[in-house]
Amino acid sequence: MKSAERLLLAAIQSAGAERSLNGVKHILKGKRSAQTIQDVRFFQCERITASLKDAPEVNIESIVSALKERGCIRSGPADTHHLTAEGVRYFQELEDDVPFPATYHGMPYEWHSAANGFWQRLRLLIQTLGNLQYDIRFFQPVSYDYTVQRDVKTVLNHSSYSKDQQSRQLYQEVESVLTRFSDQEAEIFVRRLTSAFSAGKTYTQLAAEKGKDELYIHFLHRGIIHEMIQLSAKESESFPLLKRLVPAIPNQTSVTETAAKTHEYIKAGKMLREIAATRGLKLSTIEDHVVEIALHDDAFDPADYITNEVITMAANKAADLGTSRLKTIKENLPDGITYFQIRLALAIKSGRS
Amino acid sequence: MSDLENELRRHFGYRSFRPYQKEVVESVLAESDTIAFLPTGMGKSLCYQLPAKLMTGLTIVVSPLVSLMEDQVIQLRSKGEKNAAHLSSLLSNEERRFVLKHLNRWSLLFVSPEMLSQQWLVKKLAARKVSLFVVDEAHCISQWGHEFRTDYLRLADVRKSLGQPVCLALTATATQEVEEDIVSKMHMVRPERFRAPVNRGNIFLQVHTCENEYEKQREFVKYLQGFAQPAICYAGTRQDAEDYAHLAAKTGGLRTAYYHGGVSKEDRIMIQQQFLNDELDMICATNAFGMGIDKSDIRTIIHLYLPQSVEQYLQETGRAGRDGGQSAAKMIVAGDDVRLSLRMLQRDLPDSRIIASIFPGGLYHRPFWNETAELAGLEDIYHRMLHFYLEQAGALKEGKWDYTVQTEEIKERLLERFRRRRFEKERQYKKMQEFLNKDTCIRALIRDYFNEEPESQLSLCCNVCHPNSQVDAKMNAGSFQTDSAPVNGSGSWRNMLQTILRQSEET
Repeated sequence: MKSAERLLLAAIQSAGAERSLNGVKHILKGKRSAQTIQDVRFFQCERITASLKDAPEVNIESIVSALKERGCIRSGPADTHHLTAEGVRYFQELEDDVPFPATYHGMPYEWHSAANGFWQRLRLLIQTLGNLQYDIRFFQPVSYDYTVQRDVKTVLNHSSYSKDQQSRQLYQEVESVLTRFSDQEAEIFVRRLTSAFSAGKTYTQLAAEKGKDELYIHFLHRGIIHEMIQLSAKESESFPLLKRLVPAIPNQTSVTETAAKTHEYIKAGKMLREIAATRGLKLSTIEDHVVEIALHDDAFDPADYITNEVITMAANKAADLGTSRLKTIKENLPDGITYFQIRLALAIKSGRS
Repeated sequence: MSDLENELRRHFGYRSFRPYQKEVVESVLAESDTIAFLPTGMGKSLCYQLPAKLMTGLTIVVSPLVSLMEDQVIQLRSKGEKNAAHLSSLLSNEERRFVLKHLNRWSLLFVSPEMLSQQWLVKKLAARKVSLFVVDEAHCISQWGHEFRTDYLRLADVRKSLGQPVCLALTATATQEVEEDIVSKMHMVRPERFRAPVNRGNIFLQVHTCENEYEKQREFVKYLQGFAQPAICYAGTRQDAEDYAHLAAKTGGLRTAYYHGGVSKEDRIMIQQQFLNDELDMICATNAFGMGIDKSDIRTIIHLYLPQSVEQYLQETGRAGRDGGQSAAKMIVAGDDVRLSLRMLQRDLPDSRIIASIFPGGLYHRPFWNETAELAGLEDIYHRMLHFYLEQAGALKEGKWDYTVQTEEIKERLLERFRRRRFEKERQYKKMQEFLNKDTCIRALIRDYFNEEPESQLSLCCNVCHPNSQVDAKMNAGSFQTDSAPVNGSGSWRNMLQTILRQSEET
């Protein structure tokens, strides 16, 4: 509960004054839309992005109403929110009580579920080697997921080392990451693991023991996972096994399937209106696709929809006004510039900065 | 030792069959359609697992409980069986493609009834020789059963498309009415029938009714003093499962966990394994739990809600004492619980308001069925059920309403059908409510319901016959493990990690 409050306060402080509660929710849930990606960049809230995507369930509405009741946040127009003085104080209090791990980075590791994929592989590898070390050949795997099982099998079988050497290597890699954390954090991580003797503890059980909430334990745990992924990329020669457990992450520049289809039509020289008609979609949907494409694809040429002059004008205006609220920006620009163009301009600027 | 026993030993490592297993397996191997009533815990799955090993073609098992199928396949795999797979909504597209691509590899394939309603899959399966078609939870095919499923009605056609392989229908509990229904709906030809008694003598049955929730909690806490563990505690709602897990941990000092549909899959798997490893004393669960749990030494089942039918009660209590040891089933319910189950039961079927809204002239009616269903906000189970009946009655053709038929008449027939179903369910529920009367032997009630002969006198029958008895921890002393294994070693996290990966200190 406290960790969820802390998270919501952080998110509202970053984006709440300019985005509806739904917009804030999309950031935390990691909704894969051009608007959300743009928001994350604009509000610079990469750390908490997608932090609720693969996490214990949080009822955002009820947390928000609890914060309102405490006088921590106040509603503004269009379902926007901002922190009150009491909110700022409470946020500080929570920072001390349920701190957010320094090594946690949502955008790079949670957005594409890399952290979850890595963790599933790591725990299955530890369970497997742990059982083999005690000569137990048949056991129930902690992950039923076929791709996880397949990847772990590949790691185990495509190695010139014996199972014993692999176990030692794995022990050393995990131990050396955990040493960077406090004993209490390391202990939580280890007790979550499944071994030949024990199924391990769930977040709920660990939280009850520590007198903290489940989400706190989850973030703490993920902070360690994120550090493992980062180290295995940065110092790959020291972490050869961990490195192999990082799942293949879809290309960062990939767009949604439907936007990609629109892109095909554009490349074939179709007008947006034609594409909308052919695909039986609304023009505004096709425009959303264009914004999404612009955000991901640096090579995309927007000249058919917007001039360089308008891009600069809109982006500068947004910076001057210190907002990304489309309505405010539009009111301060010459007539005739559309919402679509403003969004496109912001996407191009944030995507290529 | 006979050949069959040798095979049993060779494939599964068991020395002997449990009651009825051998007869069922023999009947199936002799290519007779077979129907078997084996209470939970009697080793139903062996009745098709062994034939699957011995018959040349594919064995298909249809089961409505997808997570149970998954558990079974995982369990079989963890014992080294590589020729079993399942096809259900739980698989990713990639996994499903894998299973289908290697169809020849499997000797035992579990399929959900929903998947079998897809023609392309049936065609694909038909390309292989199918030797045995197993209908698990066969009571689902009957409208008089306690868990009727419309998808089951298609199974007879599926079987025909597969070349009419031998059919084995399995269920834990069914009245004779349901039995006849299964035989006729599956087009079984002079089937061999095997019926084990539903009464399990080693489970002491207790029912305790309370005035209110407060009294219920007190009785629960009182019961925990010296009761036999491990235990499953069934609650009516998710909230209750969580609350009672906390209560048992706090007042009884028990190692507990709660388990329901809202718990993540990762945690659900862990909790199941904790329970199997004796790292938990009690699981508080909604009825989502326990289907595939292969644990023979569960000593106590507690019910904190009133099951909707005698069949459901027997299924859940039957998870206790599969090892034959003395066990207990304790029910603690208050008046509110009686009403809660009734409300849930009524929600199982769409009411007349919903029906009226989707037919022509109704608020949500649209020419396309999917649109209609979406507008009406139909839950998945209603969606499938109504789609099936409407198609069967000719009101829907290829996903569109057919306005040339008399939809008004079809609507009336549908309403009548649901009225009868609801009446039947309420009748079954009333039977369950009789358990609360306190003056009739509970076993006698069960026996009457299934037309069974009285068994010999039990020293621990039920709390009507033996009001002051309790099954406690000491009764099975020595026969099961009481001390728990060290959990991932002890000491510092480094020591624990060393234990897990079997590393010595100096590494």
